[in-house]
Amino acid sequence: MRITDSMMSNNFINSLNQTKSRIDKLSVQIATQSKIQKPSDSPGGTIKINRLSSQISQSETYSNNIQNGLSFIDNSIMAMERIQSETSQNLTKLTELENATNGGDFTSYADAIDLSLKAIMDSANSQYDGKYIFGGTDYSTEPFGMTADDKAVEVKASDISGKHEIKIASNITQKLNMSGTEIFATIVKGSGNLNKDAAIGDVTTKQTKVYDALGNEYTLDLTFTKTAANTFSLNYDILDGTSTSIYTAPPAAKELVYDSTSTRLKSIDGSIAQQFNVKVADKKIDFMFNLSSVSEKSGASVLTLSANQKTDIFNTLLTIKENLKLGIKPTVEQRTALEAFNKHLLAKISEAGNISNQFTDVQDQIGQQKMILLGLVSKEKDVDVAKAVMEMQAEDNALQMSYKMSAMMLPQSILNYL
Amino acid sequence: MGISRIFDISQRSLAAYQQALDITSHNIANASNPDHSRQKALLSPEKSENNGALVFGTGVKLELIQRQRDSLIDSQIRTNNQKYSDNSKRSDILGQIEQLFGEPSDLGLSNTMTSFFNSWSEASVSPNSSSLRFNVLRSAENLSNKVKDIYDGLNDIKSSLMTDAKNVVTSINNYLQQIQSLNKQIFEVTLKNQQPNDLMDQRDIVIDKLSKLVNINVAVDSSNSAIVSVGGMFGADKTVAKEFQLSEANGKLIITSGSDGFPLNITSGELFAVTDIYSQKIPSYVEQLDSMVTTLSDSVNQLHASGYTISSPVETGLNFFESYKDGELTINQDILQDPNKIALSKDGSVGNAEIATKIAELSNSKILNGTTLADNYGSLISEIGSQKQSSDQMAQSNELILQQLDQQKASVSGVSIDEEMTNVIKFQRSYQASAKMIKIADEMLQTILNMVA
Repeated sequence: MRITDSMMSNNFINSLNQTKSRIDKLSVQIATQSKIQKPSDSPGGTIKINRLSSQISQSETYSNNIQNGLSFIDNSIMAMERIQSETSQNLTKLTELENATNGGDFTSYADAIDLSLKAIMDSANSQYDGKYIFGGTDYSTEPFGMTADDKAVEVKASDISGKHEIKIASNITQKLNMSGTEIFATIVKGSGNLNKDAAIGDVTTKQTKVYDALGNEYTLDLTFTKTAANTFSLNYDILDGTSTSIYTAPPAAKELVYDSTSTRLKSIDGSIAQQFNVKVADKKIDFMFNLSSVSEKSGASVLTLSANQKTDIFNTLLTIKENLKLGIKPTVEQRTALEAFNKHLLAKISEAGNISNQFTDVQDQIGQQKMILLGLVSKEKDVDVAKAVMEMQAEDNALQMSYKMSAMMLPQSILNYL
Repeated sequence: MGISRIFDISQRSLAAYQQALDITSHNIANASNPDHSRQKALLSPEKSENNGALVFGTGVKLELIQRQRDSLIDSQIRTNNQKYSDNSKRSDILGQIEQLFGEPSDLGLSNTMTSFFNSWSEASVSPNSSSLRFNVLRSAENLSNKVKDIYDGLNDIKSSLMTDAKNVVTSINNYLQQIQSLNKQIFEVTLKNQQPNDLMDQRDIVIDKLSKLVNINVAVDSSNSAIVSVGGMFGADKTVAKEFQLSEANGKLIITSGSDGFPLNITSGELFAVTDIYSQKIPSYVEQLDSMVTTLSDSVNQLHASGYTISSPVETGLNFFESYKDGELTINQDILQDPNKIALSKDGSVGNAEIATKIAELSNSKILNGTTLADNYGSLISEIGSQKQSSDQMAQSNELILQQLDQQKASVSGVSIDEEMTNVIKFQRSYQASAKMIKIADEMLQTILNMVA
């Protein structure tokens, strides 16, 4: 093969270019500490980095959400603990009142209970970060306050049952708040089943006792009418002691729709909520009617109704206070109600504690997960600097060798010897 | 037989070796010219003379100035020129496109999209927080700006590709005219039974340049004229050079013959890279981007419209994004002016953030062709990255082949100073020897003349 001068110079230039190109690539990698500068460096690696970075970013968001959620739930726990402490002290006072030696001086107890009620109300209306802790999802109105006639405590907000849920992991949504309803409200709970095979127009009726804030008794009259497959119409009425409706016009019927597969209640008037509020302000009646345990099954309709309390803690304490002023000792029923509330509150504190613990656990998990993800990104992206520097050194040696060789060989020709 | 024959033979010899030295000096002068094809002096004996039973040689002559060229290597170089130019240009353009997306980095669309969904998740914790609502708007604006940047960038690249294509077609037309002109000159020289070596070198340079731009076929006829076809259509010979035109139809670039309007079948070369990326690749990227942003916008709007604002009065049925058209993802102006009109609540209460949570969940939902938006975007980035990587590798491979072919060409057509200087010595010695023969013949003639005197 003929070897011409241009062949030799081209060979040298091509070799030099290739070496310089590798040096350039290595120097960029060392300077940026990254093997991947653009998608074409590693299309698969780029997708992996994007996916991992997105997961890291989401983890950081979840971590922030948890941090904020923890502050809120911790404040909720503190408020509940204050209420529980007051309730315990009230129970102690009620025990003291049963002592015959304290029989003559009820006014100071009435004052103490009045102060305690105010403290409980204050805690029940406490705020964190502009939100009423027990206001459900209504942040605009203070949840609890006195009625216009100053004789009872009522719920001022339109709805304190709202559940505030946040995402704390890609597949975990956690309730953040303890609603006013679940802590303080009177809940009339239905359980049993409605007849799935009943004919259209079939009617099931049920009655139970409900009470106003002052402890007066009423009758809740319920009528379930089958209107279509898996659908019932619920008419309700509240009757006073003379069996007369307290409503001037009967309340609108509620449409209950059941899931044909699970047999569980799917919606009330199109909403997935399993309960609705029954409130008659002028009669000081306010309770939630919960239907979550009423399913739809084949067989005769069987319904039982029960309430967690006759009146709420505020009005119970208010009644005790007013009675004490009149020299009337608290009743056993009132003491039992206070004990039940105390027990209920402890359970709710425990539930909130569990939520707080879950937040902490998930945050720890997220922290560990983030470390793993960062490790994976590093593995995919980061340059092994020592290796890159060694490779660069080797390339540099090759480059210098090429220069030396070209300087030695290229100027040589027969002309040097003629 | 007379002494004068020695003069004749030596004189012819002197002329032949002088011409050989001319050719050698031409080669040496062009030793560093990569486009020069080495020329070789082919010497042959003059026609012999019969004298009775004896046949006497009559010296040497320059038979031919032979251009050293391997047409097979030339053809392979042109084929690889087309492939290399295609892949190299493709790599350059795709490099510009992948830069637009800014991946993998915090400034890429992937991170912007994640931040957008994260902002909804953060807002869900404190749905009444103005700063978190503003954060949703800022992240939406960032997303909108990034989408617009990419979209505009792709359009800018398309515009520059159109200019590139026009310039390439103009160059093709110029080269075809040059080829036709050189063909004509080569034909005229060939008719005179001469070797148009340097003209053929010039024509080969133009053909090589043309082969970098577009797929061509070259055939050489008996009169040394190159008949060049471009994209399967006649381009130039010794009499005609066609002119091609560039046009756009339905978003695609088409190159047609000026006279009959038939489209060329462009399959390689720089022009193929430009037209293919303009007509196929960029529209495909834009379509994928549009599909992704439209799905994101529709999905967010669908959820947002079902939610409630915390403005006074409370509103529902509001779209978060007003529209998406031509890369412009427009945020609802009412919401931009009042972040309380971001509908995070499902039931109208301030503290409900179910809509925010659901919108945040869209980032992991399989809402586009059974995959998530991030996966769809990943496919797009992977597609661009893979195409660029493939073009880079193909270009590197073509470059290596071209280097080898250039070496082969240089081996055949290149000038070796050593070889040429050796030839110089050889021809110089022959020239000196011929001159010496004249001197000897002269001395012989002098001897005879002296005898007469």
